[in-house]
Amino acid sequence: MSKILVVDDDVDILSVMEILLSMKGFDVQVTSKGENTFPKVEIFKPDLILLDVLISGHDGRTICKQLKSNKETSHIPVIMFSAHPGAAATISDYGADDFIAKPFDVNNLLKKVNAQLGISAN
Amino acid sequence: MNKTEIKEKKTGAIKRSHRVFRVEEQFRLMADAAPMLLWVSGIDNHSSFFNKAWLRFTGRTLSEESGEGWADGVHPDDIENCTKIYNNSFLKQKGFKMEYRLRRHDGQYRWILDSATPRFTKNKKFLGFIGSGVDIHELKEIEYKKDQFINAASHELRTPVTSLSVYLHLLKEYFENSPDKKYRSFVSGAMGQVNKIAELIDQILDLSRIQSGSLNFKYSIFSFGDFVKSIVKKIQAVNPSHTIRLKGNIHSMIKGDPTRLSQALENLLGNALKYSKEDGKIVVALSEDTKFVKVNVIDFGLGINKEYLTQVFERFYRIQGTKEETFPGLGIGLYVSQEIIKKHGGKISAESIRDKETKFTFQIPVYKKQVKHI
Repeated sequence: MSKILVVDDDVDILSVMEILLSMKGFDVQVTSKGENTFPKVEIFKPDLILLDVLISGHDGRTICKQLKSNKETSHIPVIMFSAHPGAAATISDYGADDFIAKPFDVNNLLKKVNAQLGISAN
Repeated sequence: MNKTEIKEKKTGAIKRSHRVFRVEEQFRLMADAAPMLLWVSGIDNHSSFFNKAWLRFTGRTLSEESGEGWADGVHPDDIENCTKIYNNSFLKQKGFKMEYRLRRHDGQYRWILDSATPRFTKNKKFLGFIGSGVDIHELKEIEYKKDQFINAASHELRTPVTSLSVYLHLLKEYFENSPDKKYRSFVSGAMGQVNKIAELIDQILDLSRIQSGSLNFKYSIFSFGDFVKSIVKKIQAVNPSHTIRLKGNIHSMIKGDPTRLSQALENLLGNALKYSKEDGKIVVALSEDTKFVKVNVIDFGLGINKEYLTQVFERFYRIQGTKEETFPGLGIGLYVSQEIIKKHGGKISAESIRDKETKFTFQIPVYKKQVKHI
């Protein structure tokens, strides 16, 4: 079972993502605090991270850059997501593997998740 | 010419010169009494007059501002654009409007809206410009705050819309296998409404992006005919009560942003559907020449009175009228569509006969492959 860590400061989003991804057969953990990302990654060892761009008090892009520059975590695919206009244009410099804008189409999100995890659609 | 004639000619010239002097003096008095910043430039492309309001604003003397001296006060980030607009208008001898930051006497840069009108003699000889500047700094600041607010509000609105659409997706999956089809249609209906909310948020955001000049475009090269066909097919599928007839077959390629262009075309089709009869017919006609591809979207519904045909493209403009006011809308769609078409180097226009038909036309330049000459 692939493990996914979701980082977002909006607890409603975390709650629905946890339900959705669990129902799709993933092992999911969530956190609303940017500073919890690194301890969670260390303990949970996710196969994929879904990371919000603007997390209260933290910039998800900086977190992504730190994850990608650490040899222990650089291999973990990171999909950034945001409801913020224009966020997509700014993420490529931070090493994110993909981006999805909120609100997203669920099928599109799952396609991106599966692609990063190397899971075929069927 | 005898002595008397020479004397009369001289007297005439003196009188004319006095008249010119009096007119100039009157202009100077009026200009100095005016609250806005006024300037006059001549055929040499140099400014020769600045009124008292201008000199008070900049805290400089007439001799310091004259010639090209005024440019010293323009913000370094704005001077290039300013000079470009001024010189182009000078060459074309046409009026212009431009916004730039001008340094006030206290050192603060303030946004100025400068409008200039060309001056001509009776014989249509170009004499330069007369311009007036208004301090629009507060207005600019309010606009900036408004854009910030729209950005923040759209972010805040998108987040619950995201949660809502995920929950609805899960409900849809749950009812997919239900024997009662009714619930499936309820969920589909709710999902459709959520998508509409998301589209409205996007529209408001696009408006703010246009204002700030940050509406992004991703260009690619594609067949315009195929593109229009696919949009018509998509819109027809979700509006089975109407008949959308596609006429004409074209082959030209264009360079454009397919997402933005579909936004513009879908907006025109959406209006045609909205203002036509319940089971109405809509015609989408394609044509091309060597320079442009053209699409007409024609409906046979309510129509637009002639006096409103250009205003419909203005931001927030909604036609006043007992019938028109009953139709929903924000008055954004046609404005955004026009901006998208303009960004593609194209044009959009409207023609209409009240209660008979309305035709919206837009054209985009044909993409011509660059041939390298060796």
